[in-house]
Amino acid sequence: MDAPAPQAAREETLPERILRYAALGGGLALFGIMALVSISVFFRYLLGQPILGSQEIVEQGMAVVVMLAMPYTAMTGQHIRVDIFDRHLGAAGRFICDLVSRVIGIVVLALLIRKAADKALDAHEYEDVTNMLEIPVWIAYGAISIGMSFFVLVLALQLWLQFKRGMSGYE
Amino acid sequence: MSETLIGVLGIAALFVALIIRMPVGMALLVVGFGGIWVIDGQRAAIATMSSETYSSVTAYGLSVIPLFVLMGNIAGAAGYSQCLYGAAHAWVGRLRGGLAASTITGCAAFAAVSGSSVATAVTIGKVALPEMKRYGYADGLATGAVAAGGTLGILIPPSTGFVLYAILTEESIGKLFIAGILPGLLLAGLFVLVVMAITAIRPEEGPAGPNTSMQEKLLATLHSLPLVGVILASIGGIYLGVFTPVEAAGVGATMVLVLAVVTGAMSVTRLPGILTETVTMTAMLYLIIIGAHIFGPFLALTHIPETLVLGLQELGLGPYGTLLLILLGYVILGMFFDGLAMLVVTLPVVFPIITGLGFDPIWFGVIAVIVIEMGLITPPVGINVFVVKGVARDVPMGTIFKGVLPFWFAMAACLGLLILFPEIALYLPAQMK
Repeated sequence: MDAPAPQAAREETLPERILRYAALGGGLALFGIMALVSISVFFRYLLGQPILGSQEIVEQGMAVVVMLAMPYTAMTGQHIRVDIFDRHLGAAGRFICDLVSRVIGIVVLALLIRKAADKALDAHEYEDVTNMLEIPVWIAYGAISIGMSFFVLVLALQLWLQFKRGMSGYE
Repeated sequence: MSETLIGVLGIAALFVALIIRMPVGMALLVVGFGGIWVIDGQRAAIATMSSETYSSVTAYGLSVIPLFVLMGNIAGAAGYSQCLYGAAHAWVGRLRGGLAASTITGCAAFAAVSGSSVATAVTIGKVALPEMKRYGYADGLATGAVAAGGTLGILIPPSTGFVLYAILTEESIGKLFIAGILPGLLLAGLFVLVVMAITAIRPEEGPAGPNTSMQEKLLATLHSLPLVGVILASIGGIYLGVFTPVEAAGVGATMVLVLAVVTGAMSVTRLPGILTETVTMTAMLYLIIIGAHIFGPFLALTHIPETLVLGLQELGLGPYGTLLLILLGYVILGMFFDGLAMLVVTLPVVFPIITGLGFDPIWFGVIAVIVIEMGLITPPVGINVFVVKGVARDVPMGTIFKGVLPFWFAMAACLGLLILFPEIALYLPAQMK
């Protein structure tokens, strides 16, 4: 099992560029979290005044970080998967396996997206918030439904490309 | 159909999903979801999937992962791996096998800013391999030292392995980090002993490097001091109870970034690339975590862990016999599976057995991570070996695998010592404030 080797240098496609910028957005959010955690420690020890609720910002912010990066990670094939059986599967086997794997992924994630979107709408309607800073909970659920929606779009795009290229992409 | 049978079929389905090239996280998610659906119905399955995804991505403790990954990526981009290797090289490089020993020392030091074995092997390998080649080191020893030394990345804190273990078993991340320090140093020491033994038997494999003056030694040490300071501040902060692991990661990443930018070691323009790389690795790990959090409840519903505990008790192997059986299973699985994925897939079953036998969960965390390390250099899927092959393209794969073999035995010896003397892992966590 192995993370796929980096692809040879080639021109970045438009979807890849859009998703890379989204991932960078997640990176900037992570940068903000890093700064917040450090400032919080600084305030606690040097000014004797902790930033109350910083933990809630980190928690809700991490949902945004992860979900902004999830589609780009899928697009660039960086999710860890087993590849030691690839040689034994053959080109046709790999084609079918990818087809099955992507279709199942799309179906299951679609169910997750629908539920997360419902939760986001409910949280918005009932004004569900975190305890201390009263950050709306729908933000994290919304991030999950949007991030996973783009993940599904990536899988669908890969499926389309798979059919378009046919077996040539597997030989 | 009984719940246990559904569980067995679920585990079989998981292996099929992995074989058909489904990402590990997705495979865990799909099988966990499907299993809960079969046992408890569609409504429960969708609700579990949604709530577990939410609780995974908003788990405060897990934010330690991207922050430590960021710290390691910044340190790598700023070339601090070179400083650490340079300091070790200046002190022991002139001895026989000294460059290989420096490589291991550099790996151990870089492991204290990086939670990834692959990152440690790549960053130190890029610096150390050309140097060892220049001084006529045998390819097997040189590549073996880098591949094995790199594995220290997930034992010496911070460690993604410990974070995943802590999240899945609800143990303290801080205690696991601290528990990894002495075994990490012990293993690094055993690796150095391996190098000394090899070069004592075959001196031509690791000729002595150049002499360095005291001034050069001190200068090299001085260059590495800022990063050593960051390591001591962040990991020491956890030990002393000054920081939580998340705070240590955040402060450590900030310190390394400020240090790198202020000293001119890294341009700010490199930051977007580093951030993108960091969140990509984060998303990769989080998909596995989400999947594990959905697969876990499914296994719990099937009662497979309890059934296995009872079955193993009936075998009458005793605690240590059962432990050795589990470790043997891990070593075999490690030959084919990515270490972290193996941990995530097996822990829901193995952990109740281990605690049921009376073993300390923190101690077993260290044991599990060392077994993962062994998998990282075991053929046919030793990822660190592939990583080293990427840096040393002219060295045949067989030579690298042969080169890591003595280090694999050192890991087995370390494992044996930890089983005989659990205090090696448990002493420091017991002293924590």
